[in-house]
Amino acid sequence: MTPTLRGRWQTRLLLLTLLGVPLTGLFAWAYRDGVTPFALLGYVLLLGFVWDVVYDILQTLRWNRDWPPLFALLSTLWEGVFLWVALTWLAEQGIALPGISPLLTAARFAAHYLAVSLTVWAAAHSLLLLLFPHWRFRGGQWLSRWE
Amino acid sequence: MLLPSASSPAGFPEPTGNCHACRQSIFWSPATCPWCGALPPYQDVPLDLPGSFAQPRVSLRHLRRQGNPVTESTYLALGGGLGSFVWVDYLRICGAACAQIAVIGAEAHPHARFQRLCNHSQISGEQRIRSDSGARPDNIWGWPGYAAEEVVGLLRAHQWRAAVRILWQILSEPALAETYAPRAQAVYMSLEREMARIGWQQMLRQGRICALRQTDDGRYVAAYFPQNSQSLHFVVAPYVHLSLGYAGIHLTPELQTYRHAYHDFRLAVQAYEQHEHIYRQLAQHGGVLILRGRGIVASRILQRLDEIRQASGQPIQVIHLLRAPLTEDAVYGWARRHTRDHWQRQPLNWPKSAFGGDLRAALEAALPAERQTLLQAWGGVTTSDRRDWQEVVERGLREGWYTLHFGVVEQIKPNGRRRLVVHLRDQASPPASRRLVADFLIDCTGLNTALNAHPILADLRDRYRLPQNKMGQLVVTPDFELKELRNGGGQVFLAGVMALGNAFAPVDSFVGLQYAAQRTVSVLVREGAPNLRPLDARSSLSQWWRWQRHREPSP
Ligand SMILES: Cc1cc2nc3c(=O)[nH]c(=O)nc-3n(C[C@H](O)[C@H](O)[C@H](O)COP(=O)(O)OP(=O)(O)OC[C@H]3O[C@@H](n4cnc5c(N)ncnc54)[C@H](O)[C@@H]3O)c2cc1C
Repeated sequence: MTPTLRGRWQTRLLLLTLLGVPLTGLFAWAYRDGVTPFALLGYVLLLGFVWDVVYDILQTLRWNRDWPPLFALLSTLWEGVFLWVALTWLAEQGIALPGISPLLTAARFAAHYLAVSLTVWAAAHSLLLLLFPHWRFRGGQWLSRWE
Repeated sequence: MLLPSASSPAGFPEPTGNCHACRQSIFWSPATCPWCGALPPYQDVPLDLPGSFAQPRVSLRHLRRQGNPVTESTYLALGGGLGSFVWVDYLRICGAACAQIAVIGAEAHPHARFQRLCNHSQISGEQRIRSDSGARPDNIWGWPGYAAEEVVGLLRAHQWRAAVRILWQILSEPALAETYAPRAQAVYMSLEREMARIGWQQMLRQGRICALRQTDDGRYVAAYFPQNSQSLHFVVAPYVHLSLGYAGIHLTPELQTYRHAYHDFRLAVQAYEQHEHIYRQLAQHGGVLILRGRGIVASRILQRLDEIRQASGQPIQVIHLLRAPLTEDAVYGWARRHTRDHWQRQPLNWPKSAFGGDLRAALEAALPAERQTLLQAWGGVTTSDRRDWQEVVERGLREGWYTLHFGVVEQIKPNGRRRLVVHLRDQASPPASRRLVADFLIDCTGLNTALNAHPILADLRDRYRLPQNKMGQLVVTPDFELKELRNGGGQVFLAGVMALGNAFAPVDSFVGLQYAAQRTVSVLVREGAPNLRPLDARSSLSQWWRWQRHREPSP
């Protein structure tokens, strides 16, 4: 699937809700913290909407205007690293983001983030094709159908 | 069988018939008309269309009274090639029953014409085709792709390295690895499997389509000659899908003139014609060959010539004859497609995003008048971005057995010693004339998409005054409907290469045919066509599960 900006947004929203929420629930249970994992998921989603704009511009530099699965994987890893660095930097400045426990460790963050993002990445290259036959022709938009 | 080179028609066997397009006699059974390149079914048939076919609206009562067999169907696919197959597959998956679908086509298999054209142009079953892993005409979801199947096969055979290479390809193509493409054989096998699953043979009526007309009750009637029958049959249906493929192979005027003058079909051939004798002779005696064209077929033939050169050790010289040098990159927005050694390379025949990304949306949103400019910017003659093909070109140039020449061919003649002389005019100012002497010429300048060469479509245009787009093809809506043909509740759709120049660029590709099928079936579902249901997430998943287990689509 070659994403468009709207397609990226819709796909991100769908997969983080459909798969991200239940997975995050598991981590919330395991970490005995019902807030932080969900807050993180929210930040990933919101920041992701902004990243999608950047990726969309980068895509126009490519002749095929596509986004190979590897790029999707690397960008997802990059988003995780960015979020963690931003969180720790803000904490050093004494700014606590709402919902984020000060006890959050890098290992816990990484385990949760990787579990969600890798699942989402895999689903974006398989499950969505099966659920929405029009998804691959609409640049990742699953909400709208052909008028 | 090919004719021996003859200097006069005197030695010709009896004609086997005339070509329907150019009306000339054909003396043996070549795969295409040797005079004009028309593709089968090109042999002329006695066209005794009933008088009512002269009217735009055929009276069914009148037709039935004439006594020829008239049958009815709900969905009618005309062509029976890959475009028809993909549409019928979609209909079946959306709930239509075999009994509601009729397919009329000349060939027993949907991939028959595709396979023949591939074989002749040296893409045998073992060779890889152009499109990617997810372009599967047997699977409307495109998942799992051909690559996954190949990887499983390789792992079973303990070929770990090859498996890892393919995995890397599908992960990083086309940016860091060349695009994965399945072997042609994998495509044929998967099609055979899906044919059996959806009951293709039950729906297929093998025969030759003669004409399509509106009926006086809001439907359409197709006239056809069933195979081995001399009487016309008719099928009446409210929903018709036309996917008739190319009109023919492209025979350049110079080649046509040469054939008419010298009746030789051996020394100068079109790449889509059977021409194995050339490789045989080169392997035995070596020789000089002129290659024309810069698309995927030229690439593959060059590779084949290199293989023969290396295996036989014979001196084989390839003169690549191009109309003009090509040094500039193609540019669109901030992006470029690079040109190297006068070849332009990209993985698919259109930028990937024209199949479903922002370029697809941009073309659909563009005004019809702007579309040709966009199509010109993205398209053009390109070859696959394959390292092995690039390597052949680079090595050939370095070692000197492959050379590039530029010029416009003015005339092709035999030189009396079973060789060819090609007269060229180069692009210098003032233009100078030159001659090239060679043993063979292979023309890889493609296929014929002219509407006029397509008897059924040209007839529809004339009869119903169908408009043409800037590329000379019929205008279709973004849903691939020939809107002017609407007849009450009845609708006609057109897919494949003959729908070029409209709102979707890659019409002539597996994925493009699936896109067309999806759009047309969406329209039919919306209009409440019999037995069709929308493919929502649940039914899509359950239908895929049936596909996966090779179960017939559920009604
Ligand atoms: C050599 C080659 C390689 C290609 N490689 C790829 C690739 O790698 N990937 C990709 O996605 N696409 C590829 N394509 C493009 C495209 O997918 C194929 O051309 C495909 O076969 C198009 O399907 P179609 O239904 O439009 O035409 P076809 O498959 O050619 O079907 C048309 C059918 O209509 C029948 N027909 C026409 N007129 C009549 C009549 N009057 N009566 C009865 N029957 C009639 C013909 O016999 C034919 O069987 C390739 C094309 C060629 C030629």
